[in-house]
Amino acid sequence: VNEKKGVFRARRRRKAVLSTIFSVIAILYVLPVGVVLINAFKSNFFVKTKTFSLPDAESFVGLELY
Amino acid sequence: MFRNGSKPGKKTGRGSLLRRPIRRCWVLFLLPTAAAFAVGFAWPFLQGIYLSFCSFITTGDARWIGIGNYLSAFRDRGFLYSFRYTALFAVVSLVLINVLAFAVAYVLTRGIRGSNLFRTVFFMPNLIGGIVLGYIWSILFDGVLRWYNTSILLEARYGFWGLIILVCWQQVGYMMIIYIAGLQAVPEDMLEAARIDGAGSWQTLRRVTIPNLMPSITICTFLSLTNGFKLFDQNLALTGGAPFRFETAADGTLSTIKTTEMLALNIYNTFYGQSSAARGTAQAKAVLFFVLVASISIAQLRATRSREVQQ
Repeated sequence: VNEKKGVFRARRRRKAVLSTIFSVIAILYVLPVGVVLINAFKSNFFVKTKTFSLPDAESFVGLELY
Repeated sequence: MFRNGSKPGKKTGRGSLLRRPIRRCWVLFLLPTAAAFAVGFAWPFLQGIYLSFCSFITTGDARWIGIGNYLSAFRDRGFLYSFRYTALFAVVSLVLINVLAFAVAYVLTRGIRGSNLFRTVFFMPNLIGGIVLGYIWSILFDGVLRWYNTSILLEARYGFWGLIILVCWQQVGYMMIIYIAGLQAVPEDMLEAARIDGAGSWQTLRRVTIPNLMPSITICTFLSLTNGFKLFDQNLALTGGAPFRFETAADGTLSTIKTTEMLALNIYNTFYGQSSAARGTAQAKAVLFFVLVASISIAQLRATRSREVQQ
């Protein structure tokens, strides 16, 4: 019984590890879409020069591009 | 005499009564589909082959010139370069997409928490169009490469790997869905029998899962191979063929090699970009392109189908 419990526990741990790894991969996977969304609120110049930074007072153009 | 007492040839079932007029007038029922096929596919296809032997600006002024267009297609160094480049791209993308898609599908069928969410996330890029994808990734690549004072348009190898990353990002999710369907169809009793026989997870994967997954592998390799050869929008939006290289041939003629230009983009640029006299050459390139894709796809289908297991 103890051996079976150990096997189940190891399996559950392995699944939790896989779940964590896949969560990280999934976040990285949607990152390009997130960057595009963020850049949609920045002026063209800052899209090209500060691609990955969040909009600040200087670069934020609100809904102007929409 | 039949079991229900009716005469031979006189079927009394409702289904057969309904089916009889269909059998008698099959030509009538076939006609709409055949007409649509002829108008929408066969006629343009044959016209395309005919035009590849002509010099033309519009389809109305085509003049037969024989195999001249094919000769100039083979003399075009840019076309030959695109040919090799596309073949390399198709092979690399085929391997990467299928390995990654299979790995993701395999893990997501292990019953891990959040697997439905992960499937959605991985499939999502497939919903974005090729041109938009190209622009999204050109912004991202240039954002990263700017730190190294370069751009995706300045180095051919960046363009190549950029395209590979892009198509992997786009297509892994789609292939993953096909692999998941295949993995779910692997009979549980076979897997259990393998476990009872003492097979480890690697042995089970190699000897049971993969042979049962061959129909999915056939479809996925076919799709990724043909998609790799036909890639156009992403190539146009991401690099547009840049960077360009200038080469001088033995006869002294200067030719431009677009180092990240794939076959479909090369045909497009020949048709619209150069003089209108090159349209016949573009048509000949398109026919060669069709022959290449069709023959490779048929060879690949035969190779993988022969490994499929009948259940």
